[in-house]
Amino acid sequence: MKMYQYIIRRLLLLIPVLIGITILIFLLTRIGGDPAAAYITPRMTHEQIEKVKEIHGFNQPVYVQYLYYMGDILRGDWGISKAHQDMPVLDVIKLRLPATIELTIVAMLLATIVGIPLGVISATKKDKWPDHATRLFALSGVSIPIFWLGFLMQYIFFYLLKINGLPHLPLYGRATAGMYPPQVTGFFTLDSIIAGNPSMFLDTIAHLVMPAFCLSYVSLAEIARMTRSSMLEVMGQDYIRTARAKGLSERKVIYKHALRNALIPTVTIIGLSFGGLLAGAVLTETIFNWPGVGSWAAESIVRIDTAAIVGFTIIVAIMYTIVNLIVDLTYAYLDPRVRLE
Amino acid sequence: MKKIFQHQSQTKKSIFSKEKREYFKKWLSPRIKELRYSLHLIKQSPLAMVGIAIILILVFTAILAPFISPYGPEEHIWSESKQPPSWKHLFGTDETGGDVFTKVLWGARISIEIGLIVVLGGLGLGIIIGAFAGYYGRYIDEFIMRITDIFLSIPYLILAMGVAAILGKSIENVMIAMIVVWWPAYTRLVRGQILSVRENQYVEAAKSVGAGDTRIIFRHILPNSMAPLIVQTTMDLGNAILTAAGLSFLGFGAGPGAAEWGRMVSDSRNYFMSCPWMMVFPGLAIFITVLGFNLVGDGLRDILDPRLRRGGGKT
Repeated sequence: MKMYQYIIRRLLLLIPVLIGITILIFLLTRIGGDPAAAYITPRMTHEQIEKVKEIHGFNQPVYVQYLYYMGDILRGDWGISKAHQDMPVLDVIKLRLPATIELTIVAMLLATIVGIPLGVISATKKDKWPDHATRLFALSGVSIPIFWLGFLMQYIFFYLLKINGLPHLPLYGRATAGMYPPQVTGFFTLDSIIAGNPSMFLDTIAHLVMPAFCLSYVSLAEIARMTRSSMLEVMGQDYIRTARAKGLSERKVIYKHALRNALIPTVTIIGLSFGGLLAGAVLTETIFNWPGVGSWAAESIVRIDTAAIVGFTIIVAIMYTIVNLIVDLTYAYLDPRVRLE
Repeated sequence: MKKIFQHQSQTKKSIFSKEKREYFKKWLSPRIKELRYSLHLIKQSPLAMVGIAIILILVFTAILAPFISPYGPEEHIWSESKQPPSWKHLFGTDETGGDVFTKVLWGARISIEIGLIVVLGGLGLGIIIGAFAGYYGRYIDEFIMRITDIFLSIPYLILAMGVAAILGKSIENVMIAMIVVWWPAYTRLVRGQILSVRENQYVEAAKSVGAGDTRIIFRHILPNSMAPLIVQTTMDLGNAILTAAGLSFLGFGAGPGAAEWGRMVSDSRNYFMSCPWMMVFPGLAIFITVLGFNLVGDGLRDILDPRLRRGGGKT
């Protein structure tokens, strides 16, 4: 199969999954509570409420309701978020999504840049202390509750440093008040570069350090574990022996011959961990008051704002599905055998 | 009356007749050998042993919590609120004068309960649906697999959040939400195992002597596909505890002040700068517990994987 054929096939396969996701979420909203609540504000009169019910088809049979529901979703009418001053859900998402994407991308980069070398070191020094240390570090990563890690970091890198008069990291938020860069892309790091203000840039970076590390730790651990095991597998292959036999330096053998082949499964893990990052963002953003969609979702839970939770679930599912598609395509590009299946 | 007793003792005798005993011995001995060998291998992996020790301590704590905790889980000594750790209060006290040590001990109960119910619930559903899909194949398989695809295309904490939000806030609903999220992964795992085991000759043999589908699935196929299931279940016990803690941190599940680890960390939010013990100990309990299950799962994987077994199980 040619690459473009494979891409088309994968895109077509995406459609039933996306429809399935909407059916699942639709059923969930219909099982619990009154779905009309997503469109009703306390100030509405009885007539207005009846009208809302008619417009969105809540008086119709369930399968007709689904069509209304899909119509609403496709038209961008996702209800109103009570946890966000009765703003339309889609507007809240537009407003808050860049913050989440910025945090997630930085966390993912951090996890990849640190995780892969850790895995390589662990594999090349198998059963020596760097290997044990890395494995313990990785096991801690998949065992630690990230909300607890966040609090510990705040306690150490903000509170303890501050009371000892040392330079400390900011406690929460995306930037110091009054240091917000003019909005262009919604990504504060990029916006501060566009504004050409180095102190603003450093301020946003300082605000990113703790949440990004906190969020990335789980993925970092998973990437390190995966790289280690696939490196170990590759290192036993014949072509590595050949590379060594022809007198290549160990460095070249590891980075040019082994790592390149070992990275293929790691790519999958990076993609899969994106879902974990989005889920982790709910916890991390809550701890660090990060104004993204995650903290909004967490607040919606407390305020029982179902429209917001459903909207958030849909947007995350779509993002996750797209990222997985990209991962699969990368995989097919790196390993042509996948396309033949 | 006497007659009845005589009759009973006779039937008892016949249950444990010599042939039966011989048969039972024959049935048991390879299994004991296998278990002994596995134990021998597990002993060689120090990390797995640490994990087992952690789990045992956790289980004992959960069972003995009412007897060893110095205070009640809902007891508040208002005059002693926000006290740092001391001999009187080993882990200090919280803002309402609750003893953190006591609450951590009681929290083990809820954690184990949630972990077991969620994982066994998910596993049970997964085995039934996965066996169905894998054994009958074709359209049923295709249909079930597409449904699992949909469930797996939403990150699990977020799907659990959505389900729990709709069901309402309570520990039971958190468990239901987590089972809803957990079954697809097991279904796929069981199905994959069955697909590979189904082709074995002994399945063919069982079929040819006229064994029914249920018997073949539960007596021949499932017992032979247990290894990866055991590893996954062990790791998932930790994962389930971690996810449940995350959900209750977000406000699902137990209400404020409850002796539940995630909730305790969440409740400490406004105080942990000045009273770090309120946050450190419950969080540490979650961390160590989940680490324990992961260590054992890691060890079991190395032992149960025949490719690694030849190396003597040492990792």
